Amino acid sequence: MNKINYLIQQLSDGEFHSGEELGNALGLTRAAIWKLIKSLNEYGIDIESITNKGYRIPDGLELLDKRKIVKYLEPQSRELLQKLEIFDSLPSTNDHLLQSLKEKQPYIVHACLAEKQTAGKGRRGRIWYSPFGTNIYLSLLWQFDKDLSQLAGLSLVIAIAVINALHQYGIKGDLGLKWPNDILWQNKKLCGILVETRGEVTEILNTVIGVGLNVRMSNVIKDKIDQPWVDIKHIVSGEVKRNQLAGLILNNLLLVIAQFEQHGLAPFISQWQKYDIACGKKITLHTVSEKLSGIARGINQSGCIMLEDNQGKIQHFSIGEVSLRIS
Amino acid sequence: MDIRKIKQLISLLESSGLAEIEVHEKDDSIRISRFSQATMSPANPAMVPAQLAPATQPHDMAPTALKEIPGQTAKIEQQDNRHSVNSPMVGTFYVASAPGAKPFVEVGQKVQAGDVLCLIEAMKMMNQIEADRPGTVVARLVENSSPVEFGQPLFLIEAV
Repeated sequence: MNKINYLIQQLSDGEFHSGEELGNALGLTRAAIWKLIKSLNEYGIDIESITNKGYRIPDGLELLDKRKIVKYLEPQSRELLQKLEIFDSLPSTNDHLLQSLKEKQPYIVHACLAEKQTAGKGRRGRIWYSPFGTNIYLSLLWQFDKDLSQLAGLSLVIAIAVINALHQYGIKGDLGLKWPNDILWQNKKLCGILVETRGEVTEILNTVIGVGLNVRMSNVIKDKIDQPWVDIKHIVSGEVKRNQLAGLILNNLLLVIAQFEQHGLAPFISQWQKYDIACGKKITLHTVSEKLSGIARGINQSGCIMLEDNQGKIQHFSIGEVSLRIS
Repeated sequence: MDIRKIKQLISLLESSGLAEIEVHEKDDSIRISRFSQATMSPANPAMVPAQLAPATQPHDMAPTALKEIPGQTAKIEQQDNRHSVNSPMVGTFYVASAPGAKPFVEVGQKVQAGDVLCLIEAMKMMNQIEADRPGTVVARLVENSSPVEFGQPLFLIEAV
């Protein structure tokens, strides 16, 4: 274990540790420990430092632990999942799985998690802030025996899987979905989903699903995020159980995607609409070329958003970003 | 047993140096053989091809086997010099992975089968579209960041 990891392990209990105690354990001077602590800040970890007491991570950290995560997988999920990897740091969990496709025998269903991402990404090159040990960055590779047109609606059912997991974790109210798959709590973003596909010359479609859940966003990062957001820590009081969250999300993803693979979007439509925050409201749909206003009327069989214009005509869209009009 | 598992078995066989693999799973069974004529899956003949071709070219075996599976329509190769790559879906067409990034391909560039040509986004799914065969990109038919329809031609590729 390297020195940084040892330090994180020691501080993850949330108690104070003196520079001297840490220095003795690592064979370093107190000044060297101080330097290491500074580099933890660059990891995005909040460290409190108090003279005569030492250093601590307020409330501690629950580091990812494979054994704890798999406890939440039901037998059907365990059967589906061929590989689960956990990393201290990756550029991006999605990219790791996309890279794995170049191996000779990629897995059909393969998941990975990282404590931190150094190049976490959202759609179209946006940054997904990914500090160490506080949030969840989970990706799942699934090889579909389908073509792209049959995958319509996948990104919507992923959101349902995450909502199911959050329910099981104990979050009952105030959750909502904004088309196609933003997960909101009291209209603030809690979770982002990025689905990427790679076609293949054979008829197999490789799909990587990335889930970024705000669990306990560190102070170091908080001011950098440019949209209203919320984290689990804010919603559920008490200790944050990251392994439970990760396990529940992974379990639900596996079950929901397996069902989607068999039956498509149809079994999920009513559930999706139950959480739809826009239905019946005035919205603006921003596409790359135009802005369309109207009243949101839910989703159709393919997962497209339905928009009613001022003549009462309903049109279906598979592209665009929804914003709710404040009026 | 689905096509993905069959494909995994084929690559396992290729990398293992074994001559034959036989797998039984519930009601399905499959035998894949590299060097002799092999009959696959007598238990469920509708699912898999009755026979694999003799392995004169072992590396071509996997795609051949996969394309023969009923219900999986093999793409018909056109003999024309140029062919278009069409959009497999409705979505937004992008030439690069992110705004300002280098385009996946430029007109005039040679591509191999499997090289990424563009990205099409729908419902926040980012789908990389790949060349289905080698050639030279002779035209891009769609503007960056514009909507595309199912089947709309995106690129013209000239065979080398």
